[in-house]
Amino acid sequence: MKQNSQSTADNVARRGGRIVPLAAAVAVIAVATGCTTGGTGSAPAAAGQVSTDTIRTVVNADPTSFAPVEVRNADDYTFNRFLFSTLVRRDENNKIVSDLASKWDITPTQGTFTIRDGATCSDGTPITASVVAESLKVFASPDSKSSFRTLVLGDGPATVTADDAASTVTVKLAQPWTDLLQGMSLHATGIVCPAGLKDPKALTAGDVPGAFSGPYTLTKKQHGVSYTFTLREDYKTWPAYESKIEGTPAKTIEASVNANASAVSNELLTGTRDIANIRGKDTSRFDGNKDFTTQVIPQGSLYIMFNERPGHPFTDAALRKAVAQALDAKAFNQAASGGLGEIYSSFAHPGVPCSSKDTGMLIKPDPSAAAKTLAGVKIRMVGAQVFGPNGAANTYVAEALRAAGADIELRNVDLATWSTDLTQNIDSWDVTVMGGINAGGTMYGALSPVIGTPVEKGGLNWGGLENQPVLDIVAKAMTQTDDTQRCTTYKDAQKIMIQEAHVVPLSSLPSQVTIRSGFAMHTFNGQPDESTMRITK
Amino acid sequence: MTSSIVVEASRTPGVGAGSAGGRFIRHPWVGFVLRRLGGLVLSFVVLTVVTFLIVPLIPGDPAVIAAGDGASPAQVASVRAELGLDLPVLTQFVNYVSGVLRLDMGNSFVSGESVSTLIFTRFPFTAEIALLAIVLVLLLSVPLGMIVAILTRGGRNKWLDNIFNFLTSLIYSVPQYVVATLLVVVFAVTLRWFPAAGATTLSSLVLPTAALMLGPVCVISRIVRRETAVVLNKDYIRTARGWRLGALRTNLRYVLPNLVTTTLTLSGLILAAQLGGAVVIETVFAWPGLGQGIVNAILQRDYPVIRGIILILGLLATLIITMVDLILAIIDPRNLGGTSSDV
Amino acid sequence: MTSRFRSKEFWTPAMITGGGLLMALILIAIIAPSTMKQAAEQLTPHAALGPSAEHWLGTDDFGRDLLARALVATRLTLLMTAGAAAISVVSGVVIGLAIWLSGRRVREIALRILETAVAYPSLIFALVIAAVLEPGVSSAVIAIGIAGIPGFARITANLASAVSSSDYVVTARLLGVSPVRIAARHMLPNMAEPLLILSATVFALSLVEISALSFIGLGVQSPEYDFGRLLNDSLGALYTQPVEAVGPSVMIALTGLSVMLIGDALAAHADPRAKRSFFRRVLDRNRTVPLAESDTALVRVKNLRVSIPGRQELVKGVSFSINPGEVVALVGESGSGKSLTAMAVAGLPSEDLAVDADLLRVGDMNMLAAPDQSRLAKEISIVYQDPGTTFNPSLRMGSQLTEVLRTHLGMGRAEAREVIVNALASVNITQPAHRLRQHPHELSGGMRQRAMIAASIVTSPKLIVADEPTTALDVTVQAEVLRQFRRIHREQGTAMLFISHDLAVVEALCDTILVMKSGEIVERLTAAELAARKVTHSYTKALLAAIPTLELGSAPATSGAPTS
Repeated sequence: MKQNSQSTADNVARRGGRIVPLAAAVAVIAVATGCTTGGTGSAPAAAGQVSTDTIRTVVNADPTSFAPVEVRNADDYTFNRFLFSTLVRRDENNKIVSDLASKWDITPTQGTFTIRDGATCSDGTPITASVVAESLKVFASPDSKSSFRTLVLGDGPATVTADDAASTVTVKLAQPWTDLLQGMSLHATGIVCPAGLKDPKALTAGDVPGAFSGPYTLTKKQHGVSYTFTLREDYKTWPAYESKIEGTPAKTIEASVNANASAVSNELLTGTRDIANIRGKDTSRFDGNKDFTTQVIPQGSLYIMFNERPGHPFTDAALRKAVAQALDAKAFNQAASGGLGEIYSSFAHPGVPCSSKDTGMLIKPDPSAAAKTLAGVKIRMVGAQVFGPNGAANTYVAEALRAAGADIELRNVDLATWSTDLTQNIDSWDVTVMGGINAGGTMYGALSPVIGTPVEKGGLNWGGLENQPVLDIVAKAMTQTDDTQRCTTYKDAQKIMIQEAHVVPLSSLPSQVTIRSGFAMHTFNGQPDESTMRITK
Repeated sequence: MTSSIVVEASRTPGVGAGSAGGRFIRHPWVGFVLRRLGGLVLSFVVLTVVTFLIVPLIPGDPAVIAAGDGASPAQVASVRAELGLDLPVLTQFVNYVSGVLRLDMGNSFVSGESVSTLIFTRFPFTAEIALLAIVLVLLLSVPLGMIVAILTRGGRNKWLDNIFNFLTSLIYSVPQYVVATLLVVVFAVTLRWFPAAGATTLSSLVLPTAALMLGPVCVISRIVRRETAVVLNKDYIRTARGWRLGALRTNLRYVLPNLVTTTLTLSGLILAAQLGGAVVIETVFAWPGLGQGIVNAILQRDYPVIRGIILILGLLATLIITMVDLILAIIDPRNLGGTSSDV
Repeated sequence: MTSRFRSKEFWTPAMITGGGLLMALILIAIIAPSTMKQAAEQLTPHAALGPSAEHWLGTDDFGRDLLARALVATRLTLLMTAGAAAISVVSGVVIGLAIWLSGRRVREIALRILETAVAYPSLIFALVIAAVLEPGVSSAVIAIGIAGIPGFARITANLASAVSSSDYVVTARLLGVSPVRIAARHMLPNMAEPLLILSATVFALSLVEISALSFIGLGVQSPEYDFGRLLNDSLGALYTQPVEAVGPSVMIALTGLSVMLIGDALAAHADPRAKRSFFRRVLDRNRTVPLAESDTALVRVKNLRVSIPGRQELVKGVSFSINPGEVVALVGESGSGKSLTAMAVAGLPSEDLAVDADLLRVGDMNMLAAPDQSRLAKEISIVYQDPGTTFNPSLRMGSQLTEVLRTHLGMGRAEAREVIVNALASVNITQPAHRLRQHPHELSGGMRQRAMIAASIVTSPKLIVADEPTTALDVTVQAEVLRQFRRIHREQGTAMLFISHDLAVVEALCDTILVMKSGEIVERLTAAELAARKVTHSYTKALLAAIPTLELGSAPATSGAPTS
């Protein structure tokens, strides 16, 4: 609650603080309109000039929640990594490394994690096995708020027990689910300290200073403007990444809210921001700029998803294959991201374990064959504007199908309408461009929107076809702890999905982590870990 | 910007002022205050009802958005219940109205924060550029409009007349974000005089304010010019000439005061318009104002925030008109009968 | 209406530029979609090219020609903008008239709501409406159209209330014509012109707002495209391929410009003042003229000609003189040139007129030059026709009435006020000190005119020019004001040039009566001759015939008509 009053006081100070300068600004600017004296206050520093202990970064939007079980969008993930530790982390090449758990023992139906010594909460409470267990119980409960629960624990009930003497936490599963270990690296399984569990509402708002198990605490929040994180002086238990993390952690991280990629790029280029994830064509403004290092990561995986419920045209495999033949992934990529994305050989991005790199599995483009099948077929397409500038990805698909003779009607709508249509007005569409975010980074996560129980029956599947053969393959993979075996199994699943054209893999929706020289941040398997932000000089 | 046509309209030949309201036989201030209070209450009631009814018509289920990507239908349903969206409409309305009456506009569907807090974080940002812009607009456009009107009176300097019309029309017609982007490219990215985005330092104010000003400067200077031309043809200006008062004295004492009504009314309307209508500028400069707030809220179907911002903007609009009328009435009691928007 | 297009005045530079641009845009809107659709919409492999001879503005990410897209988009943009403007205008007019037609209570409430609606940020209105209707062409048109209604309704209501007080509407009302019929038959036609001009403004506004809507992403959705959509599509590449934004930006700016210029031109055309062409009068160098020993007249006018430069002559060689202490009347109906003559004598001719004379002097001041302002102010006082408009409504009486004393006689504030208070008392104004603190509208017409007269005598002028000083007053007040003139003449012996269209008014006051018709003096009479009705010119006789009607007390037929 101290946190709360603190930030309120800051807000007040901010309000008061801006009204007073306003009068001054009126006077100053009135005198010197079009002035040549330059900016008052802190004029932007020249590029490359580095302040010693602060990293200034950017988020797209305000976080929807600070509670790990409620994380939903990319900005929630960003802040989650500052504030919370997980049991394990996923290093380069999907190698699982230690965070709060120093070692673990995994069977298909159970995981036992040994909690390291010396980890503490932001209020000083030691992080013991029971502290971890209490936090995981909230995540694992049947009415868990987390949409990641199934990905991590499977559908069945799970029990979490703690042995403080042995310092172990045990997670028992109702069915084989070997994604458990990777699942324990997800943002959603971040460990919340007892103070946070006591007041879930305040936790959601980020107002419990003692709730954090990660390296930073939230010290100031100004909705729509910026969030400030301060490094915990007592935090020593950094994740044990094997990749070399160079530099020193910033004492302060200031994240401003800015959804406009051009504006963010301007800020980076003029030296007012240090690290930002930008999208769209502005990314190319950093090409060849020695002051910045860049790294393109997939923000989502774009593929064609069909409505395979009875009565819809794409229950017919021939029609689905024709759609695949009508599309050219390269032209699609040009439309979706100006050619900046990566052309995919699977619907799961390449960083996901077992994602197929075999382009031979794909259906080859063949517009003339497509035209034979698609001519005159009436197709209702719905598309989300977020895929490509103003939904250009959807426009490309619609135009390509129209060129193949289909009678296509495209509705380009915003994300809210799109997801409502796909989950509630399930008969209003035949085909769509799906953007799989798959924040869990598992093959099951990539498959879940297109297989299993349909959404109208309470499942996660938006395509509507259960696809029992693929479900059987997944069940088999979940009993396999050996990575090579699992990948062989999952290859079969991908083969069915792609060759029967239940999905048509296209490309990534790219974003570019852009870092000023003198700073660093690591991305692993296509996902940034913001807790690795460092100052390198 | 609709407001500007109202004012522009009044100066089109043949468009008279003339109050449509009836006059009461009591002290003028009583009628004035009653009318104003009535107007405030009325606007508020209409806005409250309209916002409640209209917002849920936006397609897209707020529960789906709030539950997030990959949420199961059961999770969506529980979010819906949590947000109170499963209650009967009448119950929702009663809750909403009783909340509004207690100045509690509920919590954001998305972040769970109280709507009043969200609005009060954004409002100062909106207010500071809007106020700054309107002050500068007046300082620039009133003298500009007057000078042009005086220089072109009675058909003098036709070329100036044409150039003024051409330039103001052109600048007004260039899309706002093109102007804003040009400002950024020149003054932020190239010259680095001012920050490119954000609202961190005092100098952050410069570019958004400048971009926000250009359109209104064109509109108001055109109106001031036309208004001045009308005043210059008034009999009392001839009287002043008959008294052989110098040009400066005539313009300052006999022209300028008669522009006050229009100019004040206009700036009130434009101020109200800019409080919410600066969406484009806010987007270009990542300025955390109310306009961006409502756009985000619409995209996320965040009903309480949409309603809250609509309501607050409506209240502000009414308050600003009332303030302007009050000032005008104090300056010149003749205005007690009429209303500023008769201008 | 058709004749207007032929008139030379109509085709101002603004009209030519605006009209030409709009015609070009309409032509593009008609031609481009049928000839360039292929280049504009066909997907090709030549994606994201820069400008070249083949593609002047380059291509987009789909390999479509950007220039072709900008041109083809003209049709949809113009149609959408016109649609939105039509919704605003038509609904606005209907609602505005309905408000005017409804009862007082309903009207009051409706106007209150309208007032808030007008002040409400219309873009926010449009945002919500567009979101509700699901973004697209028709919802953008409807949203912007609806957002524009309050403004137009408000204007219509204002216009209606102005027109409704005009004579023919009042008459129609008295005759029991139904309100709806009055609105349709009598009011709408009279509001047509201003409404047309405003429609141009609304069109320009709709264009800007539809583009803004598209900018936010709530406007036209692909595959359809208007200028705003194209501009929005270019957004992502604004820094990397800025040429993409050039086409739509230029097209939006040109469309807005053309319509606004046309609006300006129409407004200027409807406003007679704006049509005046300025004429820089050549002034004599000599500010004073030498006086012949024998010439004792205070005012001497020889062969005065006033004309609209290059056109007709309004005063055609008038000559007369005024001796010190003499009261000379210029009589004639409106248009006879009497006021022009008087204002030329006073040195305040309208600025667009050419004034020429063999001699035009007051004292030794050459009124064809620019005499010393202070001397003018002190020696010539002017009393105008309509006391309702001669005072600045925003200043108090005191500061206006003391202007000359303070500016030209160097008096302090207190001293000047004292002088004026006495002068006001001398013209029988009650509570003179209190009056100085009042605004003009708080005084009656007669009181204001007497105040004007009081202000005109405090400088002890040699000449008072009174331009129809009693015309706008009712009969009893007229008599009082005339009495004041007579008293001044009797007590101070000031010479006067008294303008009237009414022989009865001048009969009692003036020594010499000059009858003017069509810019010439047709008859010169002494007071005695007039009293004896010894008139020769038929025009004078006709004027005389009008006298009895005045004595019956009804308002003169030409009341309120502008004098010239």
